[in-house]
Parts: sequence; C-alpha cells; structure tokens
Amino acid sequence: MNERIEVLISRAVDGQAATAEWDELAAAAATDPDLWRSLALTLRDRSGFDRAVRAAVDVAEAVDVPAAEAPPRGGADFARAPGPRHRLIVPLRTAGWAAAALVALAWTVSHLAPRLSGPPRPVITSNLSGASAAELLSAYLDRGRQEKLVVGELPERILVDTQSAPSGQGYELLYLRQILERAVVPDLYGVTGRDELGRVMPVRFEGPASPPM
Amino acid sequence: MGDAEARLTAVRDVAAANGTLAAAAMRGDRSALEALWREHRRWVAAVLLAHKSAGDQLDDLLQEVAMTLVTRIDGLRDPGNVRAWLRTVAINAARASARSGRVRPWHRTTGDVPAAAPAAARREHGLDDEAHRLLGLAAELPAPYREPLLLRAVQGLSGRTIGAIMDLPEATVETRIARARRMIRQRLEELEAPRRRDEAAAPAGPGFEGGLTG
Repeated sequence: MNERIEVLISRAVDGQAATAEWDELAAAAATDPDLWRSLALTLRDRSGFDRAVRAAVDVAEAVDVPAAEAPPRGGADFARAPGPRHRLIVPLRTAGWAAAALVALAWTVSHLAPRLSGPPRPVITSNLSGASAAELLSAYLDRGRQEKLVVGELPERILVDTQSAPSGQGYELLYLRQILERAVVPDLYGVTGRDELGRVMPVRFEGPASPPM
Repeated sequence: MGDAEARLTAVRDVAAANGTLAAAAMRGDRSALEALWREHRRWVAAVLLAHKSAGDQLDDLLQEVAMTLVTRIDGLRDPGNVRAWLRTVAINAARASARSGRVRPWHRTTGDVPAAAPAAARREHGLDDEAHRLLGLAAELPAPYREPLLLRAVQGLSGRTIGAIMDLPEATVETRIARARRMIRQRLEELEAPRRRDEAAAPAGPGFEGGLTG
C-alpha cells in the first residue's frame, strides 16, 4: 500500500478527510479491496490508542497553575515575594552543609557579637548629611575593606520580584545585593545536635591538628 | 465556505483567542493565566509523554511547565505563538529532568506507570493492559513520529494546528502520523504472530464429521 493511501486512511479514521479525499480513497478501494480491511484495522488501533493516551494525560486535570502563596511540589526550594503579582522565582537550592554553616555562623556571631564589635560607638553623622544611599554604601565598602571587615560585593544580584513601575513606564525590580564580610571568631560551633528536650545544641568545631614541627 | 477554509478560520479564531488570553496573562491577569493553562495542559501533557524518560512522572513535569508559565509568560515575544512556546518549555523540562537523573518512586503519581508495576496498579491508574501495551509501542517510535501521533490522539488536533505547534508543514504532520500508525500496526502484528501460529497449529476440536445421519 502506498504512502498516499496510508495518509488518506489515517485522515479518514481521524475524521479529517475532506470529501475529495474520501472520493480518492473509494476510487483506490475499487481496485484494492484490502484497503477497507486496512481502514478497519487502523480505526480499531486508533480507538484503543486514543483511549490510552487520554487516560494517560488525565493527570493534567489535577495540575493547576501554582498559586502565588503555595510552594511548588518537587525537589527545588524557591524564594517567593508576597503579593498577587507575577513572580520571578529565584531558586535558592542549598546543600545541607551550606545551610548548617549559615546557621552556625548566625548562632556564633549572635553569641560573640559583643566581643567582636566592642563597646558601642557613637554614630558619626556630621559627614553623612546630604550623601545619597549609594554614596554611603560605597563609603561603607571602602572603609570596610580598609578595616578588613569587607571582602567585597559579589557582582551577581539576585532578582526576587518584578512588577510594572508605578509610573506606568518600565519595571520596578526588587533584588538582593550580596556583600561578603569577614569575621574572626575565637570558637566555631556547628548546630548539629539536640538535647533530650529537643533543643538545638551547638557542637564545638575541632579544627585540623597542627602540623608536626 | 469549503472544508479547508472553515478549518483555517477555526484555527485562526483559536489562535486569536489564545493570543488574547496570553496577552492578558502577560499583563498579570490571573484568571486569564488559569484559563490559558486549562486550555493547553492536556496537549502539553501529550508533548511531555512524547519526550520524557520512562522514570519521570508526568504530573511532576506538568508542575514544572505550569511554574514556568507563571514565571516566564511575560517574556513571551508573540502572544499568538503561545502554543509553540509551551511546547518548547515542555520539551526542555522533559530533557532537563532526564539529564538530572532524578529517581522517583513509581507509585507517587497517576498517568505514568512503569512496565514493572503490577497489573493491578496499572488498572488503578486508569490504564488497562491493552492501553499500557499501546503506549509502550508508541514509546518505541522515533520522537518525530511519536509526538504528532500523541497530539492527534489526545485532542484530535488538526494537522494544521499540530504543524503550528511543531513548526512543520501540515502535509508532513499527516505523513508522520500515518507512518507512526503503520509502525505500530506492524509491531502489533509481530507481537501477535506467535499466538496466531500457535492457534493455527492446534489440533481441531471435536466437531461434526460427515453429514447429518438419520
């Protein structure tokens, strides 16, 4: 059976064949009676196959557009900004060790902050009046580098949210800027244990042994 | 109006409607976004079925496509071309998942049951043995033939609509569907050949011998 006839049969069983195509099929069947058997078999196959495919994709009926507040299913962790607007979702996949390190750093810094920063210093305001936020931030970065507090600002800015600008032209962006800072602490603790009451217990980090003399 | 013209008008109307919905969704219309997804999710599922790996769950991939629709629709260049865009998103999701090599328990979702699943589970998921066999045969087809066949099967999409989705001429779509059906038929005949041989070789049962007596 040639391919043209196969296409005609296929379109016929799908209800896509035009009148002229049916005429062509009937004319071909006049010299090839097996054509009707092929048509019947194709119709039977199609019926079963379509049923199978439709059953398989029925799962789509249960999948809706995710709500702005609901977290997505699946393995990724996403950060979402609140509000009924479109979101650009920024994945914040963190490995377990990285998350534990962040918690450990937060706990350590919060406990040792008075020792790190020393007694509170008076805020110097005389040179700040008139300076813009960008200028102040730049001054902080420069001074921080001098004091060995600031390593630098990461070039990547994480986009958290977008929406139309209030003026109606352009877009308003919300994004994170990441500044890498340095801290020297006398002790380092990891948050890996819990006591019998379920309270988080810090475990002191034992660093590598000193190299032999 | 002839058949072809009527179909063309229908396709244009649908495209216009989809373009309107997509444009509204891009402007932040939540109800338009939901309507757009409801309009397209079944055939998107068919595209995922055509391109996903055996171990991936269809509903998980659909969730990813739905998420991308929410987060990236405002980047769509042509609202009237939302079908082709959704197809690209679906294929990318299927391929990314296959590359990631994620392993999921087979019993978590409906719509995709691995061959190793018990027959009872397949029936529970709405797929009888015959349906499962047919889908398995479709999975053996080359993707260029599998996808148009699934798109035709899921919603009876016309050759012109499938061509618009896959960026193919209508004639090519119809040819691929016809070839895909021929390949499945040939494969069915190969699978059924041993049974037919056994039936042909079996001795004839007791029956009337000779004519009526009396």
